[in-house]
Amino acid sequence: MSWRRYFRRKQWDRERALELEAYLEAETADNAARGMTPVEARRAAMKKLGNPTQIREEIYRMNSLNFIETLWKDLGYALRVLRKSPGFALVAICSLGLGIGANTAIFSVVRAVLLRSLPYPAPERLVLVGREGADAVTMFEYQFWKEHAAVFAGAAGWRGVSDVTLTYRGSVHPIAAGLATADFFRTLGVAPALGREFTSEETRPGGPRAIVLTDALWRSAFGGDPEVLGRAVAIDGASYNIVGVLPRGFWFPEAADAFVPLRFSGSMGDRGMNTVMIARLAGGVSLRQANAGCAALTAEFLSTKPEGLPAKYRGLRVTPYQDTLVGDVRVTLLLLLGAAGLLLLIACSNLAGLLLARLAARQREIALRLALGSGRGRLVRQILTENLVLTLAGGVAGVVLARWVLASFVAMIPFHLPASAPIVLDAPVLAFALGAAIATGVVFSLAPILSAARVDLQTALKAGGRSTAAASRQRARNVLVTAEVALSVTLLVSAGLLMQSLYRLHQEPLGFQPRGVITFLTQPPRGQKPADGWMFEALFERLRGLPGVRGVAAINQLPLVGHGNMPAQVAGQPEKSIGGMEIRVVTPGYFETMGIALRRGRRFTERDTAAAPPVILVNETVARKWWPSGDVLGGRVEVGRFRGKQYFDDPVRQVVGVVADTKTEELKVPPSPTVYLAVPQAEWYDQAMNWVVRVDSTAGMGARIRQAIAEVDPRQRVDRLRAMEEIVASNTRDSRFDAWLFGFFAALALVLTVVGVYGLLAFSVARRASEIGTRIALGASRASVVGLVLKQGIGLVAAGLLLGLAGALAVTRSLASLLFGVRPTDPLSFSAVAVLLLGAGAAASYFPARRAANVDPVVALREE
Amino acid sequence: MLQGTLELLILQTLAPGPAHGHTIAHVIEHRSEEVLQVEHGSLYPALHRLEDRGWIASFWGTSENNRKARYYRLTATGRKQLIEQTGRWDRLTRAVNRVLRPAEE
Repeated sequence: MSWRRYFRRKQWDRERALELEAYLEAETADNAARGMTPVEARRAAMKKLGNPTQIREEIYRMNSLNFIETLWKDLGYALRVLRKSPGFALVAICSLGLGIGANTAIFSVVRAVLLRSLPYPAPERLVLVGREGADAVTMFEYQFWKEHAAVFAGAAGWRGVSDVTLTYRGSVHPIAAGLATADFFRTLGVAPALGREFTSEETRPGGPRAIVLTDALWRSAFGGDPEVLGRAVAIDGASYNIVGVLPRGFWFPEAADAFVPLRFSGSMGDRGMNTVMIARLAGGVSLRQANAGCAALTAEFLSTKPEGLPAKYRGLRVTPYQDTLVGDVRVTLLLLLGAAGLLLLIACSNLAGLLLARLAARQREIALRLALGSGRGRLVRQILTENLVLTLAGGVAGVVLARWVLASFVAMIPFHLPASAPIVLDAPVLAFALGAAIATGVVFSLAPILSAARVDLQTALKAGGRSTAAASRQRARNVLVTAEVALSVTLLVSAGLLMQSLYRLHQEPLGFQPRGVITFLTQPPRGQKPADGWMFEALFERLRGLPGVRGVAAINQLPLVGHGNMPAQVAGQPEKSIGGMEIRVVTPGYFETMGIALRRGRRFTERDTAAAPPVILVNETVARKWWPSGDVLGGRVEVGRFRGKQYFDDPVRQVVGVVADTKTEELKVPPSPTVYLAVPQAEWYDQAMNWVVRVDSTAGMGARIRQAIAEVDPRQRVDRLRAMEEIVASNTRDSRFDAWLFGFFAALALVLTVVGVYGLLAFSVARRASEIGTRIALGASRASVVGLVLKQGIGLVAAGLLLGLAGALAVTRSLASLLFGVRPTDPLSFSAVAVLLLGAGAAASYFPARRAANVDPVVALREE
Repeated sequence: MLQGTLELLILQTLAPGPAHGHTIAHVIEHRSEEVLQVEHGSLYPALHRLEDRGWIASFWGTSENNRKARYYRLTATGRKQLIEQTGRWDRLTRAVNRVLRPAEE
């Protein structure tokens, strides 16, 4: 047999017809030559040939592929069967579609983020260089390892993006500029499409200022002008020369519109651990060799007497760059995929149960087919075909669903997805969906097939025959429902834990009152700093005068947004040193405006001027740590000094007050030790200020604030104007997403499980109608019949519950990184799920039980 | 005719050169002095089977009396098969003869 001929058999047949016709003509001609009349000659020829149709049929059959014929028949039969029970088909296709759709949508994210490699040549050779557990290095470490590590073919530094204003020929573009060292693009393996990347001259302090544009910015702001190289643009007022344009499709995990040189000047900023070091491994160097090569330099580096290293400094190590990008995302995505997988398994068990029930109803049909000589193998194939038709339809529904929700699902994901290409349903994802559909079909066919293979002809053909096969089917269904309950428990417990985390997160004390506070950020004009009183007088007055404004203040870093720390110690007590003391520079009125409580002493006032004695406020954490006995007021603090060594010049300041702790960077993390300085007394601070404006109602205030600022100074840029509540909400976004998604899956699982329990009991009651009728006829009370059914249902749920709780205990540990304030073994979540499932089981059993109680013994017994 | 014999005869008929169905049947009948009658109902399926195995190949040509006809020719595999099957046939007939006429041996 050959496929080629199978598909060409129609044409083949036409050729045979022609050939036979040619034979007839030849034979007729021979006969005529022997002297027959044409009619006789033809008749004799036909007689000799025999029945041409029969010959053609024989050859046609030889060209057929037997299994395909059966497949068509099975398919036709399956479609007829399904058309007869559209309700079942609908339930099956919908639940499978949901399961497969959820898996497909999540898998397309997994594929784009975890499975696709970075869009650079030899991406597996790119590594991140950093201290253990940290993803950044200091400028000193960067320079030393870049110069000395022979295991790297190239290395470059990166310090994130900042919002700047690009001005070109009078048009102004707010852009995100990335700070990168020379060799940055060479290390990534990307050559600019036009021009070149930075030279080391350009990354030297005081060197010429250069800028590299992305393709998108080049097109939008420069009209794709190929003559753009060498032209000057202004970045925040300073002039930069365009030296290169990146190729279209260039991608870097942190989105930037343009790149400017990162220059190490040895400033305070450079001394912090804030340089991301990316390196390309030299040819033939393995990760292990690279780590060894990096470690070998540690002693030499320490001999250069670098400053500010931790006591147990262990040097730098390398991690594959892609691993560091996906980091936490990997765990979350895999957990989501796991949850979706569980949901699909539950849908599978549910369907397998339904199929077993249908099989029982079709028992006589099957027995009849077996009796008429149908092979069991043929029967198995028939069941498999039917189920695959269902799952493939479910798969199609799933893909349609996934395609439909993918964009909004991806938009819902709150965490940064380091995907270098758009997340789409491409061929591998579709293959995944198809694979999932087929695997599902095979898995849930197993139970029906095993039970169908055991149909006992003799009993099955008798009317109402109750065979051992039926009993084993019942057992199989019990197992399936138990499994369903057990799997749902895992999902429900996970959802419960995540929802509790979310609740705990909302209960976390912030230390300030976000409601009614609007914030925004302004940069001081070039050469000015907040302590000069820059804009404060005019702007403060203007904003305070707006109707509905209760208070106006400013701070260098808002709570829950970012950090800015320096070492500090108690004056004269080097043992009381904190390396990462958060330094906040605030205007008087900040604490009142933000609603931060004063615990001891006083707040800043207008009298804390540059000329006044230097003062400082500390938060409760600092007070507790440094002055456990409570004698905090009058304490003396030196900012910039650590274990006796001075890193930064700041006067000794006297503590005049203690304010409540506020969350520093994240809601999940306890407040950091923080000190507050008054703006006039922090003359060295020359960065942006965040404004906080307390208003009666935030509605419409944003626009009014912008307008007010424009009236004071039309050139003043206002960034990140938003309500403080938004900032708080963005801190719970991840938890909300996790909780809702798991909650959604768990709710679906619960519904499916209830349907499963209900279906099983309803069927079992129908099957045992005559037995129940007999019991009632013999004097069993209705209540005892109800109890009988309830016991069966709750027994199943309880068995599944026990299994599931044990399983969940093992599984929820992997959730730990997503949880907050609740342990993975939280007894409340576990017991709540137990109660919920038992309740749901009882509810699902109630209706079948009532039906059992209403069995009319006369009717039931007559059927026997 | 014995099972498989027809196929052997077809192969043998095609050994000198390509022929169409009618000729093949004619040649077999003629050479066997009309003892072997080729049932045409089995000729074409047999041709088809042989072609399926790749022992013969077919092509459309023009017959002696200028008509379109489907010609069959022996393939290299078919030629090998012909030799092998002829040998097997010889051994079989000798064996059968030995059984049928033991006295003469």
